[in-house]
Amino acid sequence: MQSFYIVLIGLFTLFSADSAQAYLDPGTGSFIFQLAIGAILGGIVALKLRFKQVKNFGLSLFKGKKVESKENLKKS
Amino acid sequence: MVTKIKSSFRDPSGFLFQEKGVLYRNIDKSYRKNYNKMLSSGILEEFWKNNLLVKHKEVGIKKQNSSTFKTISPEIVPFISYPYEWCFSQLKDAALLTLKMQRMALSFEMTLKDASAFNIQFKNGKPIFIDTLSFEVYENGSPWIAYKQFCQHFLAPLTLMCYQDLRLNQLLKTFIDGIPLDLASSLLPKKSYLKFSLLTHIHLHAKTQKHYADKPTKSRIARTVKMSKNAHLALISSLENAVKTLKPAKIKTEWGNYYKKTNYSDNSFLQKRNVIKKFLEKSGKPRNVWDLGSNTGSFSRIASNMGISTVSFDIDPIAVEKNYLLTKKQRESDILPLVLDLTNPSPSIGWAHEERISLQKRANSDLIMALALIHHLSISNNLPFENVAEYFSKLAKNLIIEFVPKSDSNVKRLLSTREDVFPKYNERYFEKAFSKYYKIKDKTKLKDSERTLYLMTKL
Repeated sequence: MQSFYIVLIGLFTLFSADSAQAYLDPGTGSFIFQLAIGAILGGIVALKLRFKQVKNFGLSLFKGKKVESKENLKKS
Repeated sequence: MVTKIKSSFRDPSGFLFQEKGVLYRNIDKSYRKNYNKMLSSGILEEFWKNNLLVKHKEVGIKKQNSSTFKTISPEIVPFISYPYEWCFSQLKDAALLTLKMQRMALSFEMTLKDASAFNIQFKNGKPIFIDTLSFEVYENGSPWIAYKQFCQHFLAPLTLMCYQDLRLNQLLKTFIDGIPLDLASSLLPKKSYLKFSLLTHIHLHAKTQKHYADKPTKSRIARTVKMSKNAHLALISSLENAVKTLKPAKIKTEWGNYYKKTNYSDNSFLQKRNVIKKFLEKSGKPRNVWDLGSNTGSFSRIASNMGISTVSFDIDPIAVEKNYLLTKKQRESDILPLVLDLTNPSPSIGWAHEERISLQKRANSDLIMALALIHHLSISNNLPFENVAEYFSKLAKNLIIEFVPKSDSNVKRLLSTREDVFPKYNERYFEKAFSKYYKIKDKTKLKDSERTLYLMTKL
């Protein structure tokens, strides 16, 4: 659990600035936890997106080669 | 006469009041920027187009004081219900509506500033958001202020209902601002730690709350930390996935299969339906009906299919779940299934007992149906007929009630394990007791059965 809080504190240094105004008390623990889990979940989404882009790029290269090889076969 | 609605004291953006039966909401000047953004951004139109938020119209300022910005008159919801009266799928649909609205709000550069389950009501068979002033301008980088409230009001009770017992939303009666996450975490089984969304939003969330409970660090962090919109949206998606994957706990309940094992013949079932329809017509086609002990709503639908706004109450959360799912499947708009233990009806709770009001104070029906219910009240719960008649007479003017005699197999079953201390449980005493509060307008014996149906009207 200690390492989890170290990660939380570390995450604060990645961000900067604005105050939240609301009539509802978001709760200190909930507020901090949300920032951490939001960053993690946001990171996962970004990674998935990047992985998809890389995958699509790879597939397009592969498809390109496939088409090329078929054309070569036809020519020969 | 002006009556201020006592539940609207929490939010300084405005307050609700009633005047001559019309509902009004005064908007405070402090909410001006947010209200104008709702109008200019098109979010209000979008919500209304999709029937997600109650419609309102602007009227001339009423109850004006120096801080009044505008007065609006919102549409009335036929019956105000509370999350501890909902079945699992009703609470789940309310949770998903809240998240959908937060997602939509973000796309209009606005955000939900609270996520109370009490902000949702059921209208025309669907959940609808009723607090127009819950939306405020989104400040870039701000986290979701209502995250903790969402977890307490929705995720915690749904998770407990899924992993432990469907009756655990009753905890919302005790904890008016949602189930504390440390309590939810301690009540959940260890296997819930294996699910990432519950591990994070319930268990680790609760542990972080505990860790920071006595550390005044929020103001410093609030000044220095931002949360990107992508992270914000990822959080909403994660909560959506967590809620969507929850299913109601499978428990065997007493009444879930009632109609499969009942002692009715097809003939007497059909006759009962026809007599109820006749009685409803004879009572002057009421505007609102409450069906108490409705099971899955088979007889409630006689009223709702006549276009009568009907609340279908039952003690069994499985029966109410089935009723609600049928309502959704058949796209019915005039029936609202709710969970209610009539022997201990919803009390007035919250500050000064005025925030959430009792069932009796919300009584707005013209007619009550109490079919195959009297033996449960008078034998299982030892209630004398007089007490039942007196309470029913406080709830509505007209009554359709079924008397089930001791010779009926269901009553025999109730008496099989206990001493019969009910010498007055017979039709003669039943009529005598109810005649103190009602005039018996009609009476029909059901064929192939020992039962009798009555139509009564209050003296």
